[in-house]
Amino acid sequence: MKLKVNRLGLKYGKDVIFNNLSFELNEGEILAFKGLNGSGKSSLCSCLTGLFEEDFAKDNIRGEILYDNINLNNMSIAEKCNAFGLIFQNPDDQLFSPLVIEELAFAPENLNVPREEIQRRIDLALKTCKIEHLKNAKINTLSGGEKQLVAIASILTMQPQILIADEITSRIDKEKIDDIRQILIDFARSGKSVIMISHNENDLKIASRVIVLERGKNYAN
Amino acid sequence: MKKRIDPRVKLLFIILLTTLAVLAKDVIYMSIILVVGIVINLCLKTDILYAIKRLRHFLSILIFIAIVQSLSIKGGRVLIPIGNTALLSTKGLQFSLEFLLRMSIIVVSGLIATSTDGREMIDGLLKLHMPYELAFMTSISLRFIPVFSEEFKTRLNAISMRGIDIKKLSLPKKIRVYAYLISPTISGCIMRSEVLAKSMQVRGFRAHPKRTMLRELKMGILDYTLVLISLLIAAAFLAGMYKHGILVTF
Repeated sequence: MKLKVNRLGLKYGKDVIFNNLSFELNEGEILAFKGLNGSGKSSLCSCLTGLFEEDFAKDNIRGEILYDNINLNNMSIAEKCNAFGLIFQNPDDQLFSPLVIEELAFAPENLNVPREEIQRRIDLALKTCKIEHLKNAKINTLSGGEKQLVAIASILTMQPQILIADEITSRIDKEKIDDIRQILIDFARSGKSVIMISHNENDLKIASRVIVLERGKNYAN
Repeated sequence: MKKRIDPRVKLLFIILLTTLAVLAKDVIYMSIILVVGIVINLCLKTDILYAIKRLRHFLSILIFIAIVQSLSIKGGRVLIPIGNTALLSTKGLQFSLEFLLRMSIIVVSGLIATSTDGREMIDGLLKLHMPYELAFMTSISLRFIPVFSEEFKTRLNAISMRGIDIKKLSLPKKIRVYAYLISPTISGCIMRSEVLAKSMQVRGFRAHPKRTMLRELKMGILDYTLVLISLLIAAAFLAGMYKHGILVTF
C-alpha cells in the first residue's frame, strides 16, 4: 500500500471542512474525489502535499497521512517531492518561468538531479504530454490547454510516485481533456498512483474508486 | 549579439554606468556616458523607444522635477530675470541638466537588464555567488510588475463595466477611484504570490542546499574582451573626471 490516510480532519477555525476521513491508495490505482464547492477537495490536496503552514496544521489538521508507512510530518521537502506531485487547477498559478524548458527544469534542478538526467526527464515529460514542439516556447504565448499540459509536464519531471490532479480538466477543451485523461491513465499503468479531483463525470470514469466529499461531514459515522 | 553576451557582463555594464552617473558632475561627461549607455542598448537590440513609451509618465515626472530644480536653485549668471529676481540662472540650469542626465543614465542602464531573460540573470547572479533564494527573489519580483499592472487593469475594467468612464472623471475623482482600487489590487497580488509560493514548495524549492543548473554559463572570449574594454573605459572616465575636478566627493 502506497498511501494510507487515517482519520484525517480539517477545520478553518470553528468551520469543520471534513472529519475522520480515511482512505488507502495502492500502486496503479486512480482514486477520484468529487464534491461541491467548499467541500474541501483542494484543501485535501494541500493536506496531502503538506502545503499548510506548521502553525495552522498544528491547530486545524488532525489524523495522519502515511506514505510507505512514513508519516508525512516526518518527511523532508525532497522526500515529499519524490512522493507527491501536485498539479494545480489553474496553470497560471503554477507556471512562473518565461520559457517552457525552464519551467520543466525547475523541480529537478531544486532536487539536485544531475544535468543529463534533467534533460532526459524533460524530453520524456514533453513526449508523454505530446508537447515536444513547445520545448523552447514562451509560456505567455501558449493557449490555456497548452499551459495545462506544460503544468503537468513540469510535475512529471519530478517523477513523483503519486500524482495529485486538482480539477485539471476544468478549464480546457475536449480534445486536450482526452489527452490529459490518457496521461493520467498511463501514469497509473506505469505502477504509480493518481489522486484526481474532478466534477466531470467523464473524468470520474477513469477512476478505480470515487469518494464523495461533503462539507462538515464526519466520515466516522 | 543579444544572446551571446554573458549576463554577468551586462551586470558589469549596469554597475559601471550607474557608478559613473553618480560620480560625475559635468554635463559633457554625463552626456557621453548616456550616449555610451544608449549605444550598448542598441548593440543589445533593446527596444529603447518602447521602453520610453512605457516610462513616459515617469519621465515626465523627472522633467517636472528638473524644471522645479532649475527655477529654485540660484547662482552663477542670470539667464532669465524677472524684475530684480532671477527666474533662471546658470547654476540652476546646470543642476537640473545634471539631474536629468543622471536619471536618464540610470534608466538606460536598467534597460540593459531587459535584454536578458529573468532566468539567465538568475544564473548570472548565482555565478557571482549570490545566494539562490536572493537571486530568485530578485527575478520573481520583476515578474510581479506585470502581474500588479494586470490586476489593476482588471479592476479598472470592472469599474468601467459598471458605467464609470474613468477617462472622463475629474482629477480628484480619478485619484479617489485609484485609491479605492489599490487595496484590492495589493491583496490580489498577495494571494497570487501565496499560490506561487505553494507552486514553488511542491516543486522542491530549497529542498537541497545544493542545486543543479540546467544551463551552465560560460564566459567566452567576447565576454572577457568586453569586460576588459568596459573596465578600461570606466577607468579612463574616472581619471578624466578626477583630472578636471568634476568628480563628486562624499
